[in-house]
Formats: sequence, structure tokens, C-alpha cells
Amino acid sequence: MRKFTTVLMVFLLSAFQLFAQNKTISGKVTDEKGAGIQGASVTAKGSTKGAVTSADGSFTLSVAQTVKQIIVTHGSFESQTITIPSNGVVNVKMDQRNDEMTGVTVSTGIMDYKKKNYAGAVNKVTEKEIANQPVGSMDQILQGRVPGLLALSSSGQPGTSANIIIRGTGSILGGTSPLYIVDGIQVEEGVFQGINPNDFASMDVLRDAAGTALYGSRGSAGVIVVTTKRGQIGKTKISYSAQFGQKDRPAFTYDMMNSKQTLKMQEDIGAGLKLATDPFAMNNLPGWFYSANNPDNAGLSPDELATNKQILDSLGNLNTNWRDVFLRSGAFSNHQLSIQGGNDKARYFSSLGFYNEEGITLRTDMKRVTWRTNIDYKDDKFALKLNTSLGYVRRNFQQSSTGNNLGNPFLVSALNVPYVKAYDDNGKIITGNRATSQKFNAGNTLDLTNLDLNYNTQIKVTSNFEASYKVMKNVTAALTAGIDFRETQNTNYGSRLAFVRTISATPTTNAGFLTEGSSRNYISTVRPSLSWKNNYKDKHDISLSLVGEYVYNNFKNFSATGYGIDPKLPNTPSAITQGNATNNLFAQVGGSKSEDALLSGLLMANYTYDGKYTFTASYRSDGASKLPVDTRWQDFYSIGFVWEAKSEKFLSKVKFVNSLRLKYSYGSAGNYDNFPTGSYGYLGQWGAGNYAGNPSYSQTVLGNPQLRWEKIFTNNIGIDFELFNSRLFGDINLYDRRTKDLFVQQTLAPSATYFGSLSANKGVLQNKGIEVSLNYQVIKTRNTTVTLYTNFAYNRNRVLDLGGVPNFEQGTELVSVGKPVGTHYEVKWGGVDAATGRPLYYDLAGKLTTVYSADNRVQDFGTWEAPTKGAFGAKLKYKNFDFNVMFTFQEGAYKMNNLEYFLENPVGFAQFGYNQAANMRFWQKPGDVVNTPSLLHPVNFSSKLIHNASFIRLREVSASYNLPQSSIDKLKYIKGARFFILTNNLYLWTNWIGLDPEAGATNINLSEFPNPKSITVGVDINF
Amino acid sequence: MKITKKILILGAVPLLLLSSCSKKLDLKPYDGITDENIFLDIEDIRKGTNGAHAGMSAYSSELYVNALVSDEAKLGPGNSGQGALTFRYQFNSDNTTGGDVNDLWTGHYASIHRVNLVLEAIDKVSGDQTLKDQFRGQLLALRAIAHFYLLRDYGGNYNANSLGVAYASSTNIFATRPRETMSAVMSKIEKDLSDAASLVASITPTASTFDVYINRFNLAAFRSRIALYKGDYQAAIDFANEALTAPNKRLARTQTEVNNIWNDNDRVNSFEKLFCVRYENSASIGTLWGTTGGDIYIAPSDKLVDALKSNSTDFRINAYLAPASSGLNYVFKYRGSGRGGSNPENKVVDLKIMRVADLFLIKAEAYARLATPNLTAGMLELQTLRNARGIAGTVTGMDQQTLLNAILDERFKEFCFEGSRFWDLRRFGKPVNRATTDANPQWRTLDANSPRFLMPIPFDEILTNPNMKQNPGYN
Repeated sequence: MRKFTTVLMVFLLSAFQLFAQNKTISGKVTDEKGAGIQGASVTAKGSTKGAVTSADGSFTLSVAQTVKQIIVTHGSFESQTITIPSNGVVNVKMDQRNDEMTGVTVSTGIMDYKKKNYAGAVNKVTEKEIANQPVGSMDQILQGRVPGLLALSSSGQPGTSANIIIRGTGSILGGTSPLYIVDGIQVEEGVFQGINPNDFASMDVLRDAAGTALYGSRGSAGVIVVTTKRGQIGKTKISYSAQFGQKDRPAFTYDMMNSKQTLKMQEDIGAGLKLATDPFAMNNLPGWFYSANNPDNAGLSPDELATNKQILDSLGNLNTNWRDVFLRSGAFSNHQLSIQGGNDKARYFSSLGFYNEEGITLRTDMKRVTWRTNIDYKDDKFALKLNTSLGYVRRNFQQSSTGNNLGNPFLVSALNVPYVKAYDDNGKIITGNRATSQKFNAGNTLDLTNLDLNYNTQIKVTSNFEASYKVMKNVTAALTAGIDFRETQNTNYGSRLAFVRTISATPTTNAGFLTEGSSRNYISTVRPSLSWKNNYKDKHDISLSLVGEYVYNNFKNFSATGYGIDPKLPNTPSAITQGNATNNLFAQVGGSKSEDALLSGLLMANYTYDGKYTFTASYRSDGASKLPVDTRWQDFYSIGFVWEAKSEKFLSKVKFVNSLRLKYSYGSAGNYDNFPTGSYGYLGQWGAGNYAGNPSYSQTVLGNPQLRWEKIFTNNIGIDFELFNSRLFGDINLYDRRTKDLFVQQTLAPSATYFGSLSANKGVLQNKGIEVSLNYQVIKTRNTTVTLYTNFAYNRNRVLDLGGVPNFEQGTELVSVGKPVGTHYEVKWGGVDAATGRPLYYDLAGKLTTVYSADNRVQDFGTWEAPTKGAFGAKLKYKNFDFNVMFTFQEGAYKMNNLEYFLENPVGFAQFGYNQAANMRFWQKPGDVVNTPSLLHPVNFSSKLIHNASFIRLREVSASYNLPQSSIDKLKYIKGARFFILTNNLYLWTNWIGLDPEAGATNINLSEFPNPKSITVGVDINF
Repeated sequence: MKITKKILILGAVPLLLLSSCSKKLDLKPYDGITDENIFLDIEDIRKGTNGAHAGMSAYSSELYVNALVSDEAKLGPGNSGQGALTFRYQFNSDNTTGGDVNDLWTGHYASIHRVNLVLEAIDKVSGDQTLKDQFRGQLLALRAIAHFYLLRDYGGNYNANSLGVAYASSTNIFATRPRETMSAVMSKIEKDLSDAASLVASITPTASTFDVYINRFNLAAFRSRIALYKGDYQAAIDFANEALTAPNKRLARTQTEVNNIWNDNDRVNSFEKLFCVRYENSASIGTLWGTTGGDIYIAPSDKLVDALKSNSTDFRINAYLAPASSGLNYVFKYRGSGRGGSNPENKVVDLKIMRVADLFLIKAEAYARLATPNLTAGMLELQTLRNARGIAGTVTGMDQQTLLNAILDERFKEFCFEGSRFWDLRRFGKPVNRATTDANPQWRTLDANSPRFLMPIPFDEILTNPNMKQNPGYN
């Protein structure tokens, strides 16, 4: 290759010797105020000759006599083409680029487009929006910043990724996670803790076929293209930024009873029940046990009764706030040191980041060290980008922070009664055995938090190169190749000192355990390409690209659990006691492996006529290991059209229109990474087991030899505009997205097989909607800019066809034709019968009945996915001050609150001794008009638990101050400084009464770790 | 031209690179054996047959559902909903309310599917014909036994012309089989059983294989149970006698021996175990009734406890009920059996499906029900069983009805939590009558003619199989 390159270089250089008659041009490039611009690139049009401006903006360039024009470009300014005057002196005044219009290029990861030639819907999230956000997972930044993108953070656990849904749920059985491309190569979705978003220059979110079809089988859920920062030409620049802050629990909308209320309720219930037997062990509840009304106390002396009352009074005065016990304020800090610089040939950018975040519940945090180095080299023929990012992350977890698990502090702090203490007088955690007291004790959970360990460490490496070589004037050959590698090691230690283990009769539980696990994910990408572009008569711009791509993904995990851990050696596998027939502490090991591969060819064509009309087309053929041989190869394509209307004569005179562009695209993409049947779904599989000491085989996976991709076909029509001196600008897109060969769950007769269902490509799903992004500069003066902005989207999701398969249930939803995915399927709640205290439900005929029957379930209660969502806010710029306020919202989401079921279910209250919501009232006697039935009648899941989860969240309020130039000039070593304060999630307006209305892409909330509110202060300094 | 050539070369490089990868698209799973690689020789068939035996674990649903819908159990103090809807007769065909009962249908058909997968593979491999025959015989027997339980649970008491169940004899996963008449199903069961009997005759069971694999003795025991159900009483007696010729199998006769029935470690002295599903480590049977941590979901009913304690010398008091000293009431049979660790309460226990005791009570009942009842013989069988359980004395002077009632009561005590009571009550045409302390009035009784004496066909089956007909009273 090297020899070949040399030969080619020699050949091409000799060709240029023919035009060796040169002239010299010089000049200065300045901004609007006349200050020199450093690092602007000046190239001779029609040649490859170029120069870069020096610190004062001046340049000199020697070009061939035939050169008539030069082109001046800079990342922050609008490019200009200028005719060389006869004296050879060119002074150029450049205009600041309008950043609000999200830049001029669209990065698709495979090819960059000028925005005006890109036919699709795309929004660029800029460095300014990304920088300094106090989140450990980059996808969380996207919330509210891109129309049509729903980012639901499923957990406030530091570093946990969000659920991203672009333009509505496009799959029923598969996932909705978009494809993530960083500097041209795929990175693993959902595992972003090891990537530092402060290294990002931009994130482009590709939503329609113009972008997604380029990724073929991988693109159907949208593509998020990350471009990282690169060195700028100029002197070495060192930057340091630091942030410090605090994370706090959000305001909880669920008020719990205080001790007096709880004890009174226990007494009322006990008295109201009048049961001959005590099936709920109510007598173990102090409010009833010590009650004078308890018939068991009938024989007590007045003294004894007085003592009982005293006990009740003292319990009533003891109010433990269990949320205070389990929750805390988490400290946050982030430091970033970067160095960059370079000349017209080589540039470098290198940054170190230290991130440290504590969660709002005990034992949750994340620490991260990242190091990114990007190197660019470019000469006349050859260009090379080297990108390497290394990350090391350590995260600590609670034993559980999601779901209905009694290890979950967010659940147990709500369930535990306030009249018991967490710590005794010596500061020891009070634990207790539910088997004897029969009642729930959160002290046991606290004990586990205190004694156990649950953490993981992760190494993340993303490294690639993009090399291109100009083979001849219009032809470039390029190769992009790289890897995304992640290894996570989990450690989970269960102390044998924890109370719940000390009372266990199981030797392995009793002895304490240590689990060491590791998982490794590896994605490699190789993408050679050959592209040709040309311009004819200054009117016809044509480009063609031929791209090949090979992507290979490999996953492996392994874990081992050993027992018999000495509490003095809590954190090492060396503490594991070897199992034998006497101690029965046999270790357990397990793991799994899988791999998949994709091989593709892609052809892209673009044609622009006169800068006004652009036609684009792409065709991609993908072969994938996940599909059977017969359906393995699949074609994807897209077409697009852009009309730069402002360039038309009739509009050029219309003054209030500064820019107007119409766009249309159509095309297809598949769901490779969200494939519901895994890597080998087309193959039936068997596993090896053991029966009665002998080896056995049994079937584990039912293969579907007819598997195909789920394909999404998107129609998109859009308009980009700038009006009234560019003070009103934005874009609007309309789309219709149809998923064909939609995976549906084809239920199989239980009498025919034990695999209840098969994922079959049979249905059609539609998402259609509108996305609007609007910005209006209310005030635009020299010192002050006030911009109001909003982006919002409405999406209508409908299952159009299930291919003859009957409606099927998924969790608490029923998938049926004509309804959106996720539609709740429950019996309609009819209140409590005032006469009997029985729960009432509506039957299908709309009549009230006391009999709960799942046959009466209906779909009248909406779905968890909000059809309307977006953000709005304002930006104020006054001299050196910047203010920003952003609200995010969703409207029309309905979710089920599982916590309410626990807190209002009489059985939980009476039998397990849970605390109750303060607003709950049990039915006690005939005539009571209440919403919670008598204890004798347990409640079922019904529409009672479904609530509107619409919200408006004060997502961000920030203020920053840039040190003015005059002050900086006095400082010797500092070239710029900025101070800022940033708050997130300060307030939430909602009627939802659970922990957090976001809590993931699901129609039932299970006391998930809520999103914290946070406040951070920081400084950015350039040296 | 030179440049064109170079472009071609340059273009060829990526193509070459990519074409070398195209073979890489044929990736096979690491974690599973694919369909085409699973049955290659007779040893693979042996492993498949082992897996089919393990699949008989579906019988655990018989244990669980029977306990919940009969009068042998009540909800324990640690119950937070486990089996509650079933216990209260609030189940229907849907998976929310009918989750427990639907497992009967899905579980048995799953066992059958496992069997059929191996049966269909036997002739495709080469190997010793005797071995092939033995495996085929065991598989046919397992298939027939699973169908028998389906027929009993969903068809009710045997009546030749009543609606039975679908007989699944192939592995077509898209099959939509109709229900056949009970006689049609029964004749297929009997055909499989008699084929099996001749094919397994050459198997010589050992102490370690006897009770965990089908052999001619335990097969005869199942045929006896099935013949009793069908009303073929002489056959029931004959098959029981054939089963009793098994070496080393007899009634447990002392307190230690009765206790030892539940000690799954001792396989030489396990006199009573004829067929079970063996669990090396899994607590799936024991934890049906409560957790290893001591929460009691389902407890022996007061009615059962009183019945067992009615005779203080009864060995079963010690073997079946928790010791009084513990102060607890739970299913002691399944607390653990010395397997899967030293913890006696680890709930690891084999799933007993057929015991010698059943042969005696089957015979007693069959003698009493013969066209010409042989009450003396029947009383003797009952007496033998009672004597072996520590209840001294003779059983004499009963008329037919008294003897049958005595047999039913004995079965209640002997086979509690072994999946017998509910179906026994139905065979005898009796209602479920729970004690007042065991259940609230709303679910204290179940009339003998209640449609709930038949189980609902799972809604998933009705939904996917247009040929399936639901039992009355369910939707």
C-alpha cells in the first residue's frame, strides 16, 4: 500500500509541474468588528492549494495563474467565495454563522451533507447544549432538544441510560432503541457510562429515510450520530472546566400517614372487622393489639389499659421518616482538562475527564475517568482522522432500585410504618423477623444496604480511523474502521451478618455469598468506500458513492457465585469457601455467548441543479447472520428531493423570507439491533441438562425459519424557514412511518407445543405525526438577544394489521388492531359499594358488578406513550451574561401506579403491616363513601390504578457569565473564562401521584429510582 | 487508462475484503444445540428420553391444584395471594385468574410434546434395536400417562361418549386438534400403554433407576390406576398385582420406614416409591407450599390435621405433619428430603407420582366396585394398608358403601398433597366440604355437580385452536 501511495503521489505531483506558473495572493480575514480571525482556511477554487490564517487573520498563498477565485471557510463563520482582484490583495469580512439554525452540515456518519442538500428531517444538538450537563449517560441530554424524540429516563441511578423513542414506537416485540454512531462507527446502545459527552461537538438525530436508509437493516428506530471535538488550527489551547453540585430527591407527590394516623387506622380496621378468627394477624399490629376496643383486651385491668394507652401514645409520637433514612443529597463534581491545537496539516485534540456523581439513595454513585484523543492529518491528497476514547467507570448500586422488590429503598421507604425506629439508641440498625412478627420491617433492607456491596467497573474503548485518499481529481477512496469494546465486571457481595441471612435455614444463604461476573461486548466496523463527485458548468453537482460495510458484534458473559464469605474479607473471590458434601457450599458458575455479523453494499447518488433542486437516492443491500439463508439478503432504499425555494427568482425579492426550503423523502430501514428473537431466532435450539444424575436434552428455543426484518417505510415532508430578518426560524416535518412485516406474537395452541407463541412477521404498524421546531428572537440588539423557542411533536400510533393473528396480551396491555401499542387492558373500576364495602367493577355491558373477572377488561384507558411531547423555553443574552430556561413536557400519557396498589390494598396493610397513603380511606361501615374497599374484600388490578402521567418539568435553568475581553486582557495566562450555574429538574407539575411519571417506556410504574433534581456551579477557563 | 485501472484496483480491494467476510454470515449459536445437530445417535436418544422423563414434572400442577381446590389445604399465614383465587374457586380460563389450573393443561401437553419430539427422532438414528425399543416404550408410556391426567382433569369421570381431550401424537406446532370422545382417547392411551408394556419388558430396573424411569412394574401400576378410573375393576386388580411383583417394593411398615418414604437419599430402602420425578437440587415441589425462609403459603387444613390425629398411633402424623414442638403447621412431607444440601428444610424433594400404598387402595376400591363386589378382599387390602401405617386392628363387617367411604377417607389421609383428593371426591361423586376454620363461607363448599369439578380449557387454547370446545361454566 505504501509503495502504491508513493507511486501515485509521484505521478500526481509530476502532473502539477505542468502548471508551475504561479501568482501570490495575500490578505486578511476579519470578523464583523474587524478583528482578525485565526485558523480560517483559504483555498484556491479549482485547485487543492490552500493556506490558513495566522493569529491576526492574515495569509499568503501562491496559486496558479489560472485561479480566479478563493474560498474562505471557518467553523464558526459563513463560507465565502471571492474573486481575486488584480492586485492580489484579498481582505475578507466574515459573518458569524447562525448557530441557531443548527449549523450547515448534516453528519450521517457515512457521508456529510450540506444542510440545504439534505432531504430529511434532522436536528443537530450542539456542543453548547451538550456541555456540562450533569448526567452520566449521553442519551439523557437529548431530552427536550429534538422534536419527535422522546427520552424517558427510566432511573435516577447515576449513569443509567434513557429510553429513547424516535417518532413513536415502531415495533411491538422488538426494541425502539436508535442506532448510535460515534465518529462513523457503531457503538453499543444503552451502555454509555464510559463515554464523556463533554467531548462531543454535536449530535445529529436522523429521523427519516434520507438518513436511516443509509444504515439499511440497522436504521429503523432512527440514528443518533455523534461527532466528537477536533483540534482547531492555531496555537495550543488549554482548557479547564470544573463543576460542583448536588443532587437531591424530587418532591414526592405521595404523602404517607404519620404514626398517629396509622395507629388509628389499625384500630379502626381491627374494630371494623369483627372477625371470629384473625386471618390477617391484625393482632400483630400495635394500633389494634393495644386498643381498648380489642375484645382480647376486654379482661384487662384499668391499670393495664392505661399502660396500653401509654404505649400507643408513645408510638404515636415516634415518627420515623423512612425517606430520610434511605435518601440523601448526592454530591456531584466534574473536571475536564483539554489541550488542542495544530496547523493546516495536522491537528490534535486531547481531553481528560473526571466525573463523580452520588445518587440520592444510599450506596449509589458513579465515578468515571475518560481520555479522548483525536488526531487529524490532511494534505492535498490524503486525510486521516484517528479517534480514540478510553473510559473507566465504577458504579455502586443499591441491592435493587427498580421494581416491586423489598430491597428497593424507594418502595420500602413508602411501605414501612413510621412508628418504628430505624436505629436503636446505640445507633444499630433495628432488624426483625417477619416470620415471627409477621410484619414488614424496612430495617432489614437498610441492614442489607449497610452490609452488602453491589458495584461494577467498566472499561470502554472506542477507537477508529477514517482515512481517505484522493485518487484523482474527483475520486476519493476511503476506509473507516474501528472497534467499540466494553467490558463490565460486576461484584455482588451478600454479607452473612445481614439479619435476613442469619435467620435463613439455607446453608448457602446463611454463609454469605460473593458473585463475580463479567460481560464483554465487542463491535467492529469496517467500511471501505469510493466516491466520485463533479460539477458541470457550475449548474450540475453530481456525486456518487459506493460503500461496503462489515459489522461484527460479539457478546460474552460469565459469572461465578461462591459462598462462605468471612465478613472480614467482603470484597474478594479469595474469600470463597470451597464447597464439599459437608458444608454444601457449592459454587455456581454460568455464562453465555453470542455473535452476529452484517455485510452490506451501499450506493448513494446525489444531484443538485443550480443550487436549487436536489435529488438524492440510496440503495443498500444487507446480508445478516440473524436471518435464515433464504431471507438473509434484503434491500433497503431511499429517495429524496430538496427545493431551495429562496433561490427562485420570485422569492428572492420577498424581503421577509430569508430562507425557505422544502424537502421530501421516502425509504425503508430494518431493525437489526432491536430484533426480538436475538441472534439465532431462526434456529431451533436444545440445551443439555441432567435428569436423575444422567445427562438429558430438552428443547429450549423454537426456531422460526421464516424470519424476516421488520421494515419501516417512512414518508417525510418538511419545510425549513427563516423569516423577518431571520428572527423567526425553524422547521416543520410531517411524516407517516409504517412498519411492515411487523413482528406479532402468534399464540400457538398449548396442546400443540410448550412454546406459547412464535414471533412472526405478520402485522403493520403506523406512526404518523408532525414535528415543529420554532425560534423567535423577540429582541435582537447589539447587547441583548432574547429568544423564545419551542419544539414539540404529535405522534399518532396505531396497529393497522396483525396479519390474522388475534389480539394478544403483553404485560398489562392488549395489542389490538386500531389501538396504539401499549394500550392498557384492565377492568374498569366502579368504586366501593357504600352499603357493603365491596369493590365494584364495570362489566362489558357497563353494569356494576362485585365480581372481578378478567373477561371484563376493556381498552379505554389510553397508553403510556404520550402522543404529544416537547419542550419550550427562553434564552437571554445580555452583554456577557447568558440565561436559559427550558421546560419539557408530555401530554396524554396514562400509566399504572403499582405503588398505589401496595399502599391501598387492605391485605398489605393488615397482613404485612404496610403504611398507607395519607389520603386513603377504608370502607368501615355501611354508608361510608370511600375509594378503598373493606378489608374483607381484596382489590384486583383495575383502572383505579391508571392515572394521567402528563407533566411539565422545569428541566433546566442556567445562567452564565463570560469574563469580558477587557478583563481578560489584564490577565496574563488566561484567554477566556466563563462562570455558570445550572439547575435541572427543579420542579415538576403533574397530577401523577407516583414517584416519577417518566420511569421508563412501560405502562406500569414500579417504584423506580426517580430522576433527581440537581444544582451545579462551574467554571470554564481557557489558557 | 492508467487511472481507470487504478480505480478498478482500488475498488477491488474493498470488494475482496468484504467477500472474505461473507462466509461469516453463517453463524451458529454457542449456547444451544441446533435442531439438526441434536439427535445423531442412540445415546442422544437416551438423553432425549431422560429429558422426557424430567418433563413429567408437569405432575406438580396436579399436586398443587388438587390441594387448592379440595379440602386438604387452607391458606397459610404467609400467604400473600399464592393460589388464593384457585382456593376460592374464582378461577376461569384466563391466565390471570386461572394461572394455576391452566398449568395442568399446558404442563401435560408440554410433557407430551417433549415425548413426541424424541419419538419422531428414534428411527432417524442408527443404534441397537433393543435400546431403541426400550426408549420407545418408555416414551409411549409417558405419553399415555400424561394424556390420562388430561382426560381425567378435563373430561371428568369416565364416560365413553363424553367429550375427552385432544390426543397429541405428532409434533406439529401449528396443530389445532379437536377434543375426541373419552372412549377414543382411552383406546389410544391403552394402545400406547400396551405397546409400551411389551417394549419395556426387557428393561431390568436397578435400585438407582427403578423409581425414576418407566419400567414394566411401575407401568403396570399406572395401568392399574387408569383401569380403576375407566371402571375396568378386574384389570385394575390384575395390574396392581403385576406391579406388586416388583423386587424390593412393598408397603413401609414402621414409623422409620414411613418417614423414609420422604427421604429421597435412601434409594435402596425406598420400598414404596414406584415412580417419581427426581430433583437433584431444585426445590420446586417443596416451595409450592411455602418458602425455604419459613413463610407458609399453603398449610394442611384443620380437617386433614384432625383426620390424621384421630388415631394417635398413626405413623403419618409424624411423617406428614410438622412436629408440635415447632408450633407451625405446614406440609411436612415436602419440607426437604436430605437432598440438595444438609438443610432439612431446603424443600428439595422428589415428585412422587406412584407409590405402593396406592396399589392397595386401588385394589380395595376395585374389589368393592366389582360387578360382584368382593368386600372381604377389599377390606383386607384396606386393613393391610392401615396396619402398615400403625393403626392396629382388623377391618371387618363393612357393607359396600361403608367400605368405599372408608377407602375414600383413607386416601384422604394417605395421599394428602400428592394430587389425589379432589379427583377421588369426584370419582366418588362427593362435594368438597371444608371445615369452618379452613375457609370463609363463600368458598367453603363445592357442590358435587358443580361445573368446577371440570377444569377450564385455557383461554389461549380456545383462542388459537378453533376446533377446541370449552367445558361448561367457563368462557
